[in-house]
Amino acid sequence: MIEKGKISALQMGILMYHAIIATGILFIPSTVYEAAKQDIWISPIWACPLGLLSVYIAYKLHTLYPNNTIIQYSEHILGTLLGKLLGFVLLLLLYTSASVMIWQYGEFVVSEFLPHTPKFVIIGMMVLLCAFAVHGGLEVIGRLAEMVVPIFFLLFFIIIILLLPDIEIKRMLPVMENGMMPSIKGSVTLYTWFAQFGIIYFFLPFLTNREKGMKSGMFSVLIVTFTLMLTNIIIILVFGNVTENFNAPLMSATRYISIAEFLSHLEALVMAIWLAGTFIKICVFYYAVVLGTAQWLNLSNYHSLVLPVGLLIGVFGMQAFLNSAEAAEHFRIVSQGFMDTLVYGVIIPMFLFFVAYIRKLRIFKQKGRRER
Amino acid sequence: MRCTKVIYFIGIIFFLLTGCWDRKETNDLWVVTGVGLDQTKGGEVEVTVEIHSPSGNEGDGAGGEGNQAGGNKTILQTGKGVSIPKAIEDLDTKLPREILWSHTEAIVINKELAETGIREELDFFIRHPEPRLRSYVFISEGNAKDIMALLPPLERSSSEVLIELAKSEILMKVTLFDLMEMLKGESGASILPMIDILPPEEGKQPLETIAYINRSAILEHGRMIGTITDRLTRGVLWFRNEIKESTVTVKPEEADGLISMKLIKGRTELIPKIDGNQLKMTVKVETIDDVIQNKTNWDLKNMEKHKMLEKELAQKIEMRLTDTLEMVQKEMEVDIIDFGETFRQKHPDKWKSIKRDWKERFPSVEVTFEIKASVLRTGQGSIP
Amino acid sequence: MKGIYILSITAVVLLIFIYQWPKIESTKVKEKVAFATITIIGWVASIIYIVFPYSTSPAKIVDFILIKLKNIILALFS
Repeated sequence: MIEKGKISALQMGILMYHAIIATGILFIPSTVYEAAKQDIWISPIWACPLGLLSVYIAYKLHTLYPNNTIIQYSEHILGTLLGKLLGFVLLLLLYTSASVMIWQYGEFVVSEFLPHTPKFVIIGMMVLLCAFAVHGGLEVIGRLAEMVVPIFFLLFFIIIILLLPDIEIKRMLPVMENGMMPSIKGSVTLYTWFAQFGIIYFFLPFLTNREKGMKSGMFSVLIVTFTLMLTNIIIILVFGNVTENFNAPLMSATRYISIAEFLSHLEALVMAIWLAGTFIKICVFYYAVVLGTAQWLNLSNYHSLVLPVGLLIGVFGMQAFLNSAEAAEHFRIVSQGFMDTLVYGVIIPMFLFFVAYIRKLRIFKQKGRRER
Repeated sequence: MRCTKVIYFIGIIFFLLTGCWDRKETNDLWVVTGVGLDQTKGGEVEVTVEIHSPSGNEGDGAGGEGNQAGGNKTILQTGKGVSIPKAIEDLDTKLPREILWSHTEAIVINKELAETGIREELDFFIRHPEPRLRSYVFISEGNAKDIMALLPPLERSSSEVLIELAKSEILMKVTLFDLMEMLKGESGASILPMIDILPPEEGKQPLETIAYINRSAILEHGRMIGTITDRLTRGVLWFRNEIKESTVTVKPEEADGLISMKLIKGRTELIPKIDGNQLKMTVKVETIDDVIQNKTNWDLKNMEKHKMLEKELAQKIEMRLTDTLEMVQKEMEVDIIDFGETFRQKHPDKWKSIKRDWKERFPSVEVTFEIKASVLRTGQGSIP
Repeated sequence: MKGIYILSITAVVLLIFIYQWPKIESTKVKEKVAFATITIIGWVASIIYIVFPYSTSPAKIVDFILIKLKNIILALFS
């Protein structure tokens, strides 16, 4: 076993919660608004089943191969050569995904807070920090996530409560102006986030209480849905039709808070939430990439790969997109439903699951024939 | 082994010491409290910043005009350019310190600039991460620079006067965010407070006065097309359900004097109705007032007189609303009273066809009033 | 300027080597090869980006492939 640490099912759920929500609460409202208009709060409901599906498939595969991660059982299912190939594709997608996350982090910090700081310093610091956490192993990341969660919820609810004086119900009206379609269209963008739940196939083998893995994953999906709905509702009630004019509406909304003229400029709160969440998110993907690479190469230990992989995703993260127009192009492709996360989170596991199922069926039939 | 550890340690220290790129020391900053935007004769933009100078720092260190009268400690500086950023660049060359925009709370736009369009100019304030969405926006009759140059007798700076005036909500109060929302709204019409310089009292310096809000400017698609008086502005506030302060004076026909009442609570509800091809709007107003002056010989505690007074009040409010409607709907034909938005919210499916020619159909909306006015109290006593 | 960047990234890579190399047990050849390969890929990639700052990135390549796939799928169904 390459990873000696164990995490509980609850810790895994929290880990996944952070991995999805960290970037989600900031960028989802404005990206979804383009399609869904004032119905953005309905969209998470439509996207939620995809999250449940990816958790379900990952868990089903896990029950077939309880001690292996996807990199290992793809070889069992498809044979060594095809399995290695599939694992390679999967790893490439994960590398890309991790680098895009790091890019997002760097871009946001530079554009909102530190406009003159070179990006490689911001990204380098984050990658170094994550490298320490990943080097510590899954247990360390799991505990970190568990530690962050109360602070996260406290700050999140403080922001929501402080925004209450500025809400106006009529900004949400009319509900479903053009029927269901806009909110369903808006939910396509959300698939990017919900498909990332598929990554639990890297964590399920390391649970202390495996039978609770699915329950905890599903619960995490539901809490994510709820958090996104709450964020979207509050954003639409505060900003209404102006939502799409902000890159990160929650950030702008927190800037907008002003209670009795002295409680204002609270954007540091959002930044704290977001930094903690993004740190966990990058750790989760960084860890998955490192573990996956080590397993793909059949190494006995993944620790030696932490720093090189960090260098790699850091460099690719620096250069993922050169300017905001390229990034917008990327997110436009994503909002049409063509996204890498969907491929590695849902499509590949689903494919593996069907192949495994068919093979099992055949083995079962052969057995039956023999018995006859 | 120890050697590698030392090298590693030094490497990390180098990395960590790269912080502090974006530090800003307060004594390297100038805090801008108000911005004035003017259009010069040559079509350029002139940006005037009002900088609050901390006391002790005598405020004239920098070639700006030091305003030292009374308790005022502000510095004015202007820059010109083809666009706001260019003008600010020009401004930067005249300022020894960096400008901090995050405390900019008043944005004054002069009338000429507003007539050519404010949307493009305000874009700067939205894109820049520092200025706040809660800054108040005004349109000035004369040059914004002249308004910024005033030395109010009590407040610290001219922009502070404007902020306090806006906050009192007697007339329009529009923040940058409200303006964004109006610009993006269904009708594309917006309304902004209009300010003018109050003539100084006799014997005072010509600059020792304040700017005050006396009218409202009406904009369509970001271009100013006209103004309405303060009385009609209150009518618009009634329609928009934003009325906070209002005094109504009635002169009952049977009585021989005036009775003044002060608004305690006012609530407006717009109820749209689509009747075939005809658009109808019922304006439901509920208001509670207190009597503050009675110059008649009426005994207001008399039930009958009380009823009559409430009726008078309702009539007076209706008159004001009708006048507003006449001006806004029939003359200017600009939907600043949220009719379009209300139709959209109540009849989203039919709105799509109405929206196309809303500009033509808005003047033909039939409006009926349902006003329920009640007078609750008559003050703590009365003159014998 | 580019020289300084190349030097500093090389220094970072060297630091990684100095830190990590002694920690890998000498018997494990495969680990050493994997570690060296990935580090060198990272180093080469960063040098490429420093010399040609406008070269493409994995994220854009994946996007490109996805668009191609989309066109193929659309062609199949139409």
